[in-house]
Amino acid sequence: MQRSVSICALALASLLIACALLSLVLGAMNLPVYDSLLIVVDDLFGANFSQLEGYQQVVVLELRLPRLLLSIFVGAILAQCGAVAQGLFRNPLADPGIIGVSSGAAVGAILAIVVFPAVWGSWTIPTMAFVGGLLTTLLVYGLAQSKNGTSVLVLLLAGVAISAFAGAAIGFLSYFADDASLRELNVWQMGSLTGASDANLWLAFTTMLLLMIAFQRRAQALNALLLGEPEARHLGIDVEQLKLQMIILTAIGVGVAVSCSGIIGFVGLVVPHLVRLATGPNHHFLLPLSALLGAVLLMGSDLLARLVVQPAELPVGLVTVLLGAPFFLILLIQQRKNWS
Amino acid sequence: MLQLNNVSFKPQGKLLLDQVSVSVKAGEVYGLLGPNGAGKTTLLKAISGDIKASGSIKFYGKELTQWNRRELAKHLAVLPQASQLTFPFSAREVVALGLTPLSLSKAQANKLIDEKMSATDCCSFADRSYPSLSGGERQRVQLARVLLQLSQASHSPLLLLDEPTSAQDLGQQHNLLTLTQQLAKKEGFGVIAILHDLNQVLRYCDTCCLLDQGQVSAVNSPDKVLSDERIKEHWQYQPQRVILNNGQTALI
Repeated sequence: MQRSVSICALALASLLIACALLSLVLGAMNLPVYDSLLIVVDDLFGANFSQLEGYQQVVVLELRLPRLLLSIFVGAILAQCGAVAQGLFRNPLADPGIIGVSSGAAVGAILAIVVFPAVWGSWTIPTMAFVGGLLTTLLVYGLAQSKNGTSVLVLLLAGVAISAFAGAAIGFLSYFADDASLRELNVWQMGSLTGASDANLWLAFTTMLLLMIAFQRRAQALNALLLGEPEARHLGIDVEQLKLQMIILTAIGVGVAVSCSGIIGFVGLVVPHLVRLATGPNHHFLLPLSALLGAVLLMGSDLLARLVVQPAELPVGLVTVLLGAPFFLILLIQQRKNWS
Repeated sequence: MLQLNNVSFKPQGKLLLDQVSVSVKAGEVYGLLGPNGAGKTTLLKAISGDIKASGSIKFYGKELTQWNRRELAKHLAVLPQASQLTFPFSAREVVALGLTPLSLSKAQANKLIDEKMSATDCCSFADRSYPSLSGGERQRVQLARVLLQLSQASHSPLLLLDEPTSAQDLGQQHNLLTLTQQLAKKEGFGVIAILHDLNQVLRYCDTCCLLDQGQVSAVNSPDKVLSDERIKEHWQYQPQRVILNNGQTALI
């Protein structure tokens, strides 16, 4: 077990580095690898090694680097939130996107954009996205709880209902939005990493760190929770408190991810599932490895999104949905026998 | 070690436990029996803290609700009838979840896990995925887990078993009950077990409590409680008695 975890971690770290390098140099404008790396070093240490032209430096430092960092942070956040949501609901189909939490967060974000753009300055959108995500998580959780545990059927149907409601709310708000807001709304609906600003990056980075530490500290409790709530309680865990903490942290994660990059679906579903296949469901390993694979997957998807229709680009949310939806279907088929 | 005083539970106006007062000593196997719907599982849930019943439940002289969660988990464990676990943990990983309330070094933990798995005869499938195990194998894994959970108890621990033999074949039922009997006799465990098989009650329990409609109908040694009249009264069945070679009685 330990060995497969180390191999996975090493493979994913290498993949992350390779993917990051490719993201820096490939795109509508292809750049030399060595100089592109050097310019990042120059920027960090105030040196002057790189031979890149001024406009090329702008492409690397102001466009590609922030975007690739944002993809790492958001990917890691989404994948961890997915892993925790699946543990909390004790079901591998519980992805914040599928059960409607991302939609709820998006409604919050869009309300912030259209209705009250500047109440709390740059915190308005993340805060509203968090509130939207939190309310949705609590609603879905309340609906899906039954005497016999969590009902998958209710979970997924609640997701359908909330996504539909969110779609309508977003449509309604778009109808009243002005042109500038409208463009922003589009980005939110499809998911895009083009909005990588310093403020976004810091917010996403801090959230990623916070979640990694907080989730890792609860890894053993999350493992015990997979046995069932009474069993976890008999093992000395304050189950109600644990659930509340996980719901709030997941909502913060999804809220921040949505406010930085819109709705990016299926990362939280696909990633923990793949990691479980490789190293099992133990949260001690599942959480950090999911963060790594989430970062790789989102960065890779964003690279694809930038490359396939050059010089234009696809919203990265479309790419993750194209990759994730078939995967979801395969999971459903596998689980079908448990449902009848 | 455990005293229940006037424990009642009445959700939505339906009286499931009615003024139950019983006590369980360390070192005894205490059988809970009664017809379906008698309140056996409800009583076990009240003791394990899954439901909040009125009245007093004292464990080592202290109300259960006053116990620190982790301390309580080190002294009181529940073997579930069936587990909801569907994630592919290996059997050994499930056993290791029993470490949750404990603080042990890795070497100590591994040694204890091995010990409990061999005590419950789980070693041959330690690395298999838990959901792929048979019902009986799963229950043995769960038993190893709860024994591990109780391995750092400072007083004699209390083990609650909810129909422990329901998924086991005949040989496994015997092994499991013999093991719990040994835990009581040799290590001073208190064991409360819900059992349906009256012959198992006669053979393995020191004391038994007959429940019916949420009330305690009789508490005594099994041969005194399980009279023909009582069996007829509570199960509407007239048993026949056979004297075995070893002098014990069996009910047919």
